[in-house]
Amino acid sequence: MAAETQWRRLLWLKQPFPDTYTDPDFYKQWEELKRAHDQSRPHSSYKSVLLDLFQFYHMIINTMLLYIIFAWFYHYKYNPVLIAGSISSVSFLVANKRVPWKSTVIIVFAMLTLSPVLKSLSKTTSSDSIWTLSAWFTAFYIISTSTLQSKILPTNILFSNVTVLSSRLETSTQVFCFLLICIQINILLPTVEKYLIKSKMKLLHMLCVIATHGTVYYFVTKLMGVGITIPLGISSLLLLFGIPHYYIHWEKYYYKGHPFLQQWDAKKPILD
Amino acid sequence: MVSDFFFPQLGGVEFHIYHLSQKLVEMGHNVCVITHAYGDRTGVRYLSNGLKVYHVPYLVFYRQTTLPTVFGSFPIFRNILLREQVNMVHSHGSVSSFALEALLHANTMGIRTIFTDHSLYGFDSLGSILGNKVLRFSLCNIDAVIAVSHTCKENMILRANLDPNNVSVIPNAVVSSSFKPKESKSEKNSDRIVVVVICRLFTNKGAELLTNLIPKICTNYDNVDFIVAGDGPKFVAFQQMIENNRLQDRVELLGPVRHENVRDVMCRGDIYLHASLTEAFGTVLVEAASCGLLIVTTSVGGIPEVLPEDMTVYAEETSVSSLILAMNKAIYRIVNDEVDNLQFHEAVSQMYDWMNVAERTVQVYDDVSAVSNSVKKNWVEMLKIFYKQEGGWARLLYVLCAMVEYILFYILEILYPAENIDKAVKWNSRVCRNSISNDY
Repeated sequence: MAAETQWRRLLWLKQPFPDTYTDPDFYKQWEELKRAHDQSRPHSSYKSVLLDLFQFYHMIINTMLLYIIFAWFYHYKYNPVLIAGSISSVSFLVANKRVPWKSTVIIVFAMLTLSPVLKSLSKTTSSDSIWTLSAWFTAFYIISTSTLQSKILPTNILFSNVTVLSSRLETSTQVFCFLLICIQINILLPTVEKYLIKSKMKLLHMLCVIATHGTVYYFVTKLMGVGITIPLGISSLLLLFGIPHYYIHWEKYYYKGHPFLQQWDAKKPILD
Repeated sequence: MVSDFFFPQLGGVEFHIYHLSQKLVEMGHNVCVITHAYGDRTGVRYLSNGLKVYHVPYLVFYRQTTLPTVFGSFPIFRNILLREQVNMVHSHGSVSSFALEALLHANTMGIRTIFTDHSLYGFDSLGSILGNKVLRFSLCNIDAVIAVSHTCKENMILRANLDPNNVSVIPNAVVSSSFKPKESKSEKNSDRIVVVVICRLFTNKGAELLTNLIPKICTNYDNVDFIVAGDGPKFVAFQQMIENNRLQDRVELLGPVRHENVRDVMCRGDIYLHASLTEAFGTVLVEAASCGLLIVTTSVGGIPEVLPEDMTVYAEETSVSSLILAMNKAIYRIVNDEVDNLQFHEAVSQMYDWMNVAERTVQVYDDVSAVSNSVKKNWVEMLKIFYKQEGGWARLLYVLCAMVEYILFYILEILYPAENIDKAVKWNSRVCRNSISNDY
């Protein structure tokens, strides 16, 4: 009798089958699911992921320039007017055609007025708190520039960071120059790079990138020695080339949304 | 029996453990339940028939589950297992970290392990992904798994990557004597049709469907009333629904009902309405059918397996419109006396019986015991199984956890040698039963 009776997917019926009997339909669906898992899934090319990641890395390096400028003024006591003057003339040459000069003048005068205020704004806060605040501002700046479309929030965060750091400088001239350079580097430099990419001046763009990375690594070496630079450089390279592999592995491995797997989800109530 | 969920909390898992244990005791087995402490209910308690319950004081983490620590429960657990001379650990509920940890400890101590799951889980949300990982680790060296329905079984197989031949389907049951139908027609108003809803008022129990459905049914039929019992976050939504539609005379909102009064509430109705969005088994449907109610339900999860066609009207979708269609059909059948609900109770008591559940569970225990312990619970073999799992990092973590567990085993063996642990005196059920029958 057992062989002839058709198994039915019912619990209330006493059936001549063992409790471990499995629905044959389930095996079929399971096979299908396994097949779907084994199929190669579309994934991004290594090169595109690498380039995207490099862009992020480059952005972090760009942000680090701010601290280098700060170190010039705060630690090395370089002449701020000389640096600001030379960087301004370079940026003026580069951005001459694109920025209307009236607004430039307004911004410069506004900064000039604000400089003494900014210098004393957070004077009473202890230096340790300032460094911590600045580190958090930098983290938020990096996160916001890489995730948000609009530039309003990142620019404000950058400005807060500069304000906080300004209070550690000695003269209003230093604050003004620091402010000017930071805005030029963090806002003009990416704009220039974008322009270079757009107009397909690859060599110039590459030179620009190499110059920034060179500057940052040169200062890391100067401040902390080769013992830090070499491990830092090697680990950045390893991460830069390793993370895309891991990302693509996940794209291949992570399989989501086979309709078969959704049958156990709680159903959506349809309120019609 | 190990689970986070046990008396004084009430629910499907809790009743399953209790009734299964009672029947196993009746069959002459020694059963003790290990759960965490509920409030001041700590230490050892005895329930009827000498069912011994260990309430282990442990930090409760979220929704009555204990804080997952992997190794933290090993000392006390080892002590209890040795004291009670346990040779089979049966854990319940895959969200109970206590139950899952118990499996690891029991495997390490060379004790056979069984696991029963009572719910369905998805594969897409963060919580279920994490839960499935933990389950997969815990069930690597399981001897047998029991699911409450075929749907639940298939869900388990995919979640924990199990061998289908190792998973038995043993449904829940009801104590049919506690769910007798009303004795005569006089217990209710004969010209009005009463629809009963008893569930926790949660979103996944279809609370939104119900609050939209009830006013529409009340408008369509003048002779249909509702009784809604249960508590939950959506209780206010039901109150609002009643007030907005002025249904104070038609819908009775009872709030939480004690389990022993569920039968009385059910017997006031003709139709039981169930709008759940996910369900592994649905014991309440069986209880309602046992009380002679016609069941109107969504057909999600394991529900279509539970009751025969003549007791149920299914809504094809989890939508208000298809529930209305199903209600129309059910009301038509009630009005035209097409439902032979006097037979329901007898039929259900034939279908679902705890003794049958216990016998089938014992069969699983026996099958597991047939394989030699020294092979299945060999530490090296178990390590190999951990290492064979998929996931590059996960399997190394599994192996690491297992190694730490084995080291802990030796440390505990040195600190609290097994021979120094007192053996508990067994409850002699035969003597007790005789003394009880003498009392009568």
